[in-house]
Amino acid sequence: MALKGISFDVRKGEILGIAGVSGNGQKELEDVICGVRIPRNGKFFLEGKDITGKSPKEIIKMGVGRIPEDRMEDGLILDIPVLENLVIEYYDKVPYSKGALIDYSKIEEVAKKLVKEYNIKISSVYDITRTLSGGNLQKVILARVLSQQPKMIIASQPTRGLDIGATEYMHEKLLHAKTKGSAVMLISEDLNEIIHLSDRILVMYEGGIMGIIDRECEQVDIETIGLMMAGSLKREVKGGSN
Amino acid sequence: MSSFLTLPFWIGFLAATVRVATPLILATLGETFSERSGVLNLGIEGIMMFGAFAGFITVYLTKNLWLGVTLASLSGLLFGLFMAFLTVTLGLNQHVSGLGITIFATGLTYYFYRAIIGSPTVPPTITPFTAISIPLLSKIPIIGPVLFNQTIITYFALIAVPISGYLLFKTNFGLSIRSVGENPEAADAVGVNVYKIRYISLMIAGALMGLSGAFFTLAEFNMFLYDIVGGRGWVSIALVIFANWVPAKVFWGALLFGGIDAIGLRLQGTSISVPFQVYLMLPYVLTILVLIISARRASAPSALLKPYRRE
Amino acid sequence: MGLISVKLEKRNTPPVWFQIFAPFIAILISLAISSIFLLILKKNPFTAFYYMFVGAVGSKFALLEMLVKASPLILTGIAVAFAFTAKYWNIGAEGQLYAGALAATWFGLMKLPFSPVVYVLVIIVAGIVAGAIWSFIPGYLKAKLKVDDVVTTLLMNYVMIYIVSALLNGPWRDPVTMYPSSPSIAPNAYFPKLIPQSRLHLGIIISLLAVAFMWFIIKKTKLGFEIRATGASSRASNFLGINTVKSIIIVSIISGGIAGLAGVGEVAGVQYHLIQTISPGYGYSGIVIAMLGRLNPIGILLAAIYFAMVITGANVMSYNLHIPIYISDVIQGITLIVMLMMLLLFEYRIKIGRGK
Repeated sequence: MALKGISFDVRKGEILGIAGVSGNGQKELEDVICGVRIPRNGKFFLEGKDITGKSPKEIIKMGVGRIPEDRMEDGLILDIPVLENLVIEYYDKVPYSKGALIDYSKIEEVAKKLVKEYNIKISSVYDITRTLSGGNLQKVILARVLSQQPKMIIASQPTRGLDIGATEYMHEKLLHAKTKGSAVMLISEDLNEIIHLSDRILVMYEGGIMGIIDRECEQVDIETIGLMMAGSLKREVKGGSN
Repeated sequence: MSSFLTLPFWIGFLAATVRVATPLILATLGETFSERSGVLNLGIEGIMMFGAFAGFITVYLTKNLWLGVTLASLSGLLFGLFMAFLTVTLGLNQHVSGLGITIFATGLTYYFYRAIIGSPTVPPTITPFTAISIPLLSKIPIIGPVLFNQTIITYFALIAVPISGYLLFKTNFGLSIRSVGENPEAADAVGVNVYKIRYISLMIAGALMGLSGAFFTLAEFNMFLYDIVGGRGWVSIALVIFANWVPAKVFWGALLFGGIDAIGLRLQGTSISVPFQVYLMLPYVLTILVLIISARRASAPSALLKPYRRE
Repeated sequence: MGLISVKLEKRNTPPVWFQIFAPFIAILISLAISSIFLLILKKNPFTAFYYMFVGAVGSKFALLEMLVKASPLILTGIAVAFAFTAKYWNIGAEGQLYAGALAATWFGLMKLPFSPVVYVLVIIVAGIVAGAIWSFIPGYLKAKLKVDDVVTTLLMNYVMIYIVSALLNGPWRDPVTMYPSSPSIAPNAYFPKLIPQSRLHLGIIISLLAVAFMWFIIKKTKLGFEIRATGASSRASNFLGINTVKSIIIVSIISGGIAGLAGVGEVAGVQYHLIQTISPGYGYSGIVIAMLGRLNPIGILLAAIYFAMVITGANVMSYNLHIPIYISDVIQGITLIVMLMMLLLFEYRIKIGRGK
């Protein structure tokens, strides 16, 4: 699926929901923002800085927190201990590393704090990540991302396959991140989730935008969103990109 | 140097190419079956080694070439079965399993050869397969002496190419092999027994590899040498990639490699300034170059290296 | 299929005692299986293994000889383990060893006016660089161009062995004996002996340093973490910001360099000249050792010593009982496979029952 003529912005302190039937370009959008796919044309700006086509490392450094759709394949390395997964996006920075050396006592300390704070159920931070349940795996990613107070968060299908408790936890944390000033982009197939959390809702269809609904200006109408998701209703989209 | 220009030289060269390509065709076809079903078989070198030994020792003891060929193939089939147990039933790492089989089979080969033959100064010989001229066909100019004046194993290899292609791409059985190599879950869902298909593929592969090894001792040479396979198994792994897992292309790849080998054999001794080892290493260097070129367009079966575990 | 059904149930990390004892159990099982091949030749396995054991550690001389063999095995084991940790499938330690031996010989034959300390350092560096280059090529090809590393590393073994053969049958052929072996290297490039009147040389210390080096890199450095992460999941590592291309290339250089060192030791510590059979497959044994040692430096040290015992002991056993020396290769192959099966028990509980 190719992305065509997409242009939108995510603002500080809001959740922008991206709705759409799976396979309409959401994954591609996620990949571009996460830095694992380089768009042929088009730009991606963060606070006015062009970060199109940067490597994942640079994008992480710019303050983008990524909760990927494929948490088992992309978001975590399953065969290493939990504590390493908790810091993997910034293990090379002080205080976790100094020069070429890595400081596991510091990492363990932080990891224990995160495990407690995010209520991750494990017997030891040295547990192999693979042994965790789905909900706890997602919490590891969440802890890693939120502990950095990212400027922007992209969460793709963050609650897919999770039980009710873990889902509610995720929702709570995303709302909390928003109030702390992060710009949150929520890609989800679950329309209820989108409506429940989003300040604005963007509907994607065949790689393009069918319209953006700003909940401050209008009532959310499931029927309208449904029509847009099916590609039978298209609205003018104004605004630049962020 | 004028001999380079004569027709007999070229006919001799091409016939040698086909001869040298024979074990590569067999082994590479075998590996193609294996990989098409989703299993990389690095046991290939060892299985060929053991096939070379099993074929030789059988003929040495019984004077029966056909029994030699049969037992060599059977030994390969059994190693294939063992590989299947390790990688399909147990789902072990395919790289390490294959290397384990190669080290084990090579060790066994040396062990039993030494136990039975000892270490005489001149290795014992057998009477190998001789070339069979096929009536009429061998009379065709150029093609006749190149293709139709070979040993029975070469004929088998030549026939095995279209048969393998037909099997893999035109039959239900081939469709099953390819589907368990691409998407075992989906294949399982439509009722294909993933384990069974992989077992059968690995056994076919092993038998072809064993036969390939026997060619060295029963047709190309008439004795067993410790380095007789000399990395041809590894070359076959590269040829599978070069051939993009398609039997017809395996044939051309093997001929290309066989040609380089045959050139080397012919050029040895023609030049004093170039050591003959340069010609010997040429095929390996060429294989690496071919791999580099084919790496970009290579599309291995999607489930290659991935064990399948039914939940 | 069949009469027996094997069911695997996922389990958590097994207890530590099991992790530590697994290799020992693997050794016992593999010796039991190897016995079958001794019985086929109508040899008593117990007598055979007794001779093997005595031949390896039965006297001071045997013990020292065993350590002489252990040193290249430790190095190739560490070399392979480094590579496998990143899932860089370096099956080319054999060729890299020969590259190191070739470079050491080359510099050793120059008869440079160096003091022994400097000269030994020079050939060590030369050997590391040569091995590293020979491994860097397939490493780079894998990381940048996705060229299958198993095949390239394997094929490059043959290329290197032919290069060595060309040199030994050409410019380096011993002018006196006309044997395909190089002249002796400069005596001031010899590795010093650790114990007088034995063959134990500096190499064993270098090997122990390599063990420490691996432990330090893997456990204590950012690079070590990157190598482990790349090996555990290259895709996730990429997503999470680890430069997997860089990890693979660096690991290929380290791995080849260490394998090259093994070649230096054989030339400067044992043979003092280059011969075609400078390695009886130490590079391939390195694979078995790395796996038996579970890619852990200390485990590799122990595994290498075990196989040094097997190889040294097999000589004595062979001599006394007329058992082909290749029994040590058989044992290596079986051990590799058995150990691999043991590793399955780390991840799964196995339930064997009647087929459906």
